[in-house]
Amino acid sequence: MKNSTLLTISSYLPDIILTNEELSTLYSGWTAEKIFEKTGIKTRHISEKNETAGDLGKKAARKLFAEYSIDPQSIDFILFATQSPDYFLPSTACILQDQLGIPTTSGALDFNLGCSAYVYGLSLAKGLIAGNIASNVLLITAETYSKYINPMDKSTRTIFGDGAAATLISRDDSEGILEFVLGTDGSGYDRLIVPAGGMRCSRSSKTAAECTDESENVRSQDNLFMEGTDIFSFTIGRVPPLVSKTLEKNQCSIDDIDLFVFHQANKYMLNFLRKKCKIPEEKFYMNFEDCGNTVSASIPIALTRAVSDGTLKCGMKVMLVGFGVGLSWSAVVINW
Amino acid sequence: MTQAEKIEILEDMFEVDPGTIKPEMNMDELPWDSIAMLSLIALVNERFEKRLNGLQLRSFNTIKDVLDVMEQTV
Repeated sequence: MKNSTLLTISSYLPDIILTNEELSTLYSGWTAEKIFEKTGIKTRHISEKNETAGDLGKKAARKLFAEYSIDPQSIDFILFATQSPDYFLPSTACILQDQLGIPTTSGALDFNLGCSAYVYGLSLAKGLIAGNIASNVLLITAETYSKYINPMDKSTRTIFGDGAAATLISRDDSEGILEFVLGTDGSGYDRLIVPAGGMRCSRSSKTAAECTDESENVRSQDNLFMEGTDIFSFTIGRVPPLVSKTLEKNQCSIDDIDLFVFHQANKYMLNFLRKKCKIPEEKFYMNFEDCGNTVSASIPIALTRAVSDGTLKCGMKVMLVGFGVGLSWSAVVINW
Repeated sequence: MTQAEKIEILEDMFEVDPGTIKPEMNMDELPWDSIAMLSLIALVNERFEKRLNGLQLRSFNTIKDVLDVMEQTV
């Protein structure tokens, strides 16, 4: 068995900032304070019109190489997670192999997952290393949901921000990445979805027609749709057993875990989940006030912030928990 | 739990004055928006160990429908 360790992470947020004040002028009856109170978010970073997930991911990776003096030539596998790829084909990971100066002897692939993607990416990296397929895996999680969001859909626009993170997972003598628990329930596929644009339903003038829902949110079939009530119901049903099973599989208890880093969804949901999972507040990391829910980049962004602010220290045992679109969920314990 | 106690919990959730909510009251007379729906999912899950979905929430016409859901549980 070849062990793997999550070595380093860097993140990148695009320059444009969308504030609650700006949003409150668009949505009648909503104040900047109300948006903050409900979501725990004050601002989100939004990509430029011509700035893609590939661009954000590339910037995060270059930052990683510079911050930790990593030679791109040492990378032998690229995993790129996004749901807003640069092209239908080829894979964004292939384009980044060239642009980041990673050897042509590397493997590279994209995988399409959202809020559960980071932990899934770690599981793939661990498998590639254990299988003697790769030694240094670059996992990039990059998302630009803003490109799918209708400006007048407050249910999604108040929550999601764009962002990217790059993580290096390497073969190591110490055991850094421990046991995983993964899960999927495709019956909820249409609860968080962009209905049009793929082969099932191509974009047309018909799919671009906007409709207003009962909460006065405007969107078309080309836009991101989230049935928030069902997503909330899904998470409160799935996440607490996921946490218990992950503790069990890692033969530990909540007391043995120094820090819990959940997908940074929104304050309301996270507070509810924390209480339901009986996790002490001081062990539960939340830091997304200025960037919102950055989907697959949210966990690694939170990890970099927890390191910077001194919450996450070397030698700590950390549980990472992802959940969302798919519907899909994932958790792992790591030795930091 | 008595009906009066349940109504009290709902008045607290909707942030309305005591005595405002009656069983026959229509949901559209209350601030029954997406945030209230999330709050009700959380409340029913915490107090009654039960999960409501979006379809159920949208089928509620009156407060009595909500009380019935609170009724069926343990």
